[in-house]
Amino acid sequence: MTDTTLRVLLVEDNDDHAELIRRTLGEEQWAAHIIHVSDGESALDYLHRRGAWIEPDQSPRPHVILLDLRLPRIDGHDVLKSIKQSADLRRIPVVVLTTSSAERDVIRAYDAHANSYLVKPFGFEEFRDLMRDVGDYWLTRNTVAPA
Amino acid sequence: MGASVEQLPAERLITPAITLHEGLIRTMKRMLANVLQPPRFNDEEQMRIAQIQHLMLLVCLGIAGVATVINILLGRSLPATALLISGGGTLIALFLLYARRLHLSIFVLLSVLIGLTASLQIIGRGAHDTVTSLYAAVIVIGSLLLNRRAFIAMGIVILLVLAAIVAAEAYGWTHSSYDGEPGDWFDLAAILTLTAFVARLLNEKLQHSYALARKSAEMLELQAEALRASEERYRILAANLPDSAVLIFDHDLRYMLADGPELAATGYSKEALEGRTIYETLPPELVQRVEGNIRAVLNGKRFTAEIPYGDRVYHYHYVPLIDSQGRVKYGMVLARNVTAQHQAQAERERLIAELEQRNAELERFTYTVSHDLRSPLITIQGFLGYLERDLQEGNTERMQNDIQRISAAVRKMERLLNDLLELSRVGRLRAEPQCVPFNVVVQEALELLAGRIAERQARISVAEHMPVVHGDRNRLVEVVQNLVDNAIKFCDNQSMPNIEIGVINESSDAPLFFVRDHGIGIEPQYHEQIFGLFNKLDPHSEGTGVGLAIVRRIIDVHGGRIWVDSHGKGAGATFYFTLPVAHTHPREVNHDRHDAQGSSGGG
Repeated sequence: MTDTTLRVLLVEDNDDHAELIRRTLGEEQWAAHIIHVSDGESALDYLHRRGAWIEPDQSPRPHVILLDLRLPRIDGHDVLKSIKQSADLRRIPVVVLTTSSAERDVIRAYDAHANSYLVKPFGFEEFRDLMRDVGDYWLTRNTVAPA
Repeated sequence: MGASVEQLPAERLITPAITLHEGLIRTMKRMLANVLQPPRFNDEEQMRIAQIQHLMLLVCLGIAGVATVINILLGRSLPATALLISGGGTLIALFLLYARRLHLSIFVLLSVLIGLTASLQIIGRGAHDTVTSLYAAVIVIGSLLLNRRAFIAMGIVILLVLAAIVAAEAYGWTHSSYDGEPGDWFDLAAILTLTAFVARLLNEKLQHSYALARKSAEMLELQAEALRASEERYRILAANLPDSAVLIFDHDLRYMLADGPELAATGYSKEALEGRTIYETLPPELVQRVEGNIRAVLNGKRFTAEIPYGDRVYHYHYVPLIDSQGRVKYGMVLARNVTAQHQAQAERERLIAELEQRNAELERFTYTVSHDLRSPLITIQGFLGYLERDLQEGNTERMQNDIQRISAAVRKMERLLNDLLELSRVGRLRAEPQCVPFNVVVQEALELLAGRIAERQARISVAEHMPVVHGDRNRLVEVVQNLVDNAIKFCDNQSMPNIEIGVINESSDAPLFFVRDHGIGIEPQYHEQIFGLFNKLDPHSEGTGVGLAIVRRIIDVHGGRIWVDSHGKGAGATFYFTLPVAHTHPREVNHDRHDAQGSSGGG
């Protein structure tokens, strides 16, 4: 592999949360490139290489997807379903990262083959610890399927 | 004209003459009928005997009359006299019968007959005279009229009289050519006794049979009465089954019984159906619908069905009526009007569905609220952490940025809370519903938006004559305000947004109001989503995404409907909605005066 940069697709409608995630992940000096989209439709456009991301060069496959559930236009559950139903995309680990701890969201996400379900914690330390663990596990320890 | 005037008196003259004549005839007829009829007795046995006696008297009178005439014509004065006297005696017996002295009348008749016979024997040839045979007739008559004891007494009297006649013959007091001998008496006595015995036996047997027949007839009558009473009970039962009709069919699909309070409601009468087949009484399409079921029940199938009939719903019980041999004799259809239950059930289901919808709505609401209220808190907490770090590092530039983010999150939180409060109030109307011209509603909304309209230089055209609507005025203003605000917001940065407010089917009962813009449009797949709480298609657009949720809620509370029509991106969007209008019957608006937040609006 020539390109060793790990790519994270962050699907998050809240700019502040996106910034928090970017900063906490960035602090750990992982060679991670974060691609941020703020709604479900854009996420699927990126992954399915449509619209603005029609060129494969512009839309390289992410190694992990951080997915919020409550999103404008197409919500996170539908994005997850679309990813896991696509032969090209289903091996990409999808980590659900949401404010919802509702049981039905957890069940729906795992039923749609989410790889992990994380609830955004209150508190700066907790948030930072969680993002550190996410980075540590998904960006360093976890082996991703070859593209 | 003149002729008819002249005819009238003539008729009047003739009429009384005819009436008198007819009256005479009628009176005579009535008298004759009275004589020809036996007098009536309450006791049945007496009546029976009176009838025989009456008949005997008439016959005897007739014979006596004829015999008298013949004897007079033959110049036989003595027999004629005897017959005349007998006729008189018979007449007396007849009068006695009409005087209701039955026994005396019988006694007189029999005495007259015996007396006549004896006198004719004396005048004639004694015991050897042909008239002797009359005793046999007297015995037969006596057997019909007398009880056993009287009959025996009469027999003895006849035998004694006969003995006297034989004696008279022996002494030569008669015109007989024979010498009266005791042997003659014995012969006659034997013959007459045998006659009496046979006559009496026959009569008593006849009486016995008659009594038996009468008893059977009485029993039959009692049974028939019981049957009538039983049928009457069933009739009453069938006629009074509440909300029901009962139909009983034979194997020809003939109505044997059709009754019940619901029968009339179907437009058929009991008289029109009973005794006729379904083919004779029902229209072909109805025959087609019911024939199969009736045949099935006649084949012994027992089942129920629910079938609508006009605007009513009937629950049918199909019951085969089986006789003692286990055969299906009739098919019964018991139809019960269950329309009320159906309506109640439908109403219950509607309420349950409404409740479930409310519950689901509440659940969605709670879910959304918990998510959307957590987001700014996470932001605040997160950036507060970084702020601390910025402070330590002296990174003022980032500090400012973080403070701005925190402050924005706090403002967003406040807006969310205000919007939630607003939304929670929509379910309760603020004021009594009133009739207000929709043009006035639009005017008020545009005044509230005046600053924004001026700022964006929006051009808003409003239809001139819109219907008068019925509802909470301020809420309706809010609807228009939100829709116009929305239209301005998504005008795709046109220099001069162009917005139309109007109505379709203005004078109908269900006018369709609309707010149309020529802005960025909405793709069909999001047409429903945009009305959801805090749902925003563009995360960067201003507002919390509560506006259309509030609009829908207000319209819902007024019993109306709202939807959007747009052909997608760049095609503009038209929001259509219905509201109760004043010239129709205003729908009951969900009005709750217990508004804990007061009516001051804003929080």
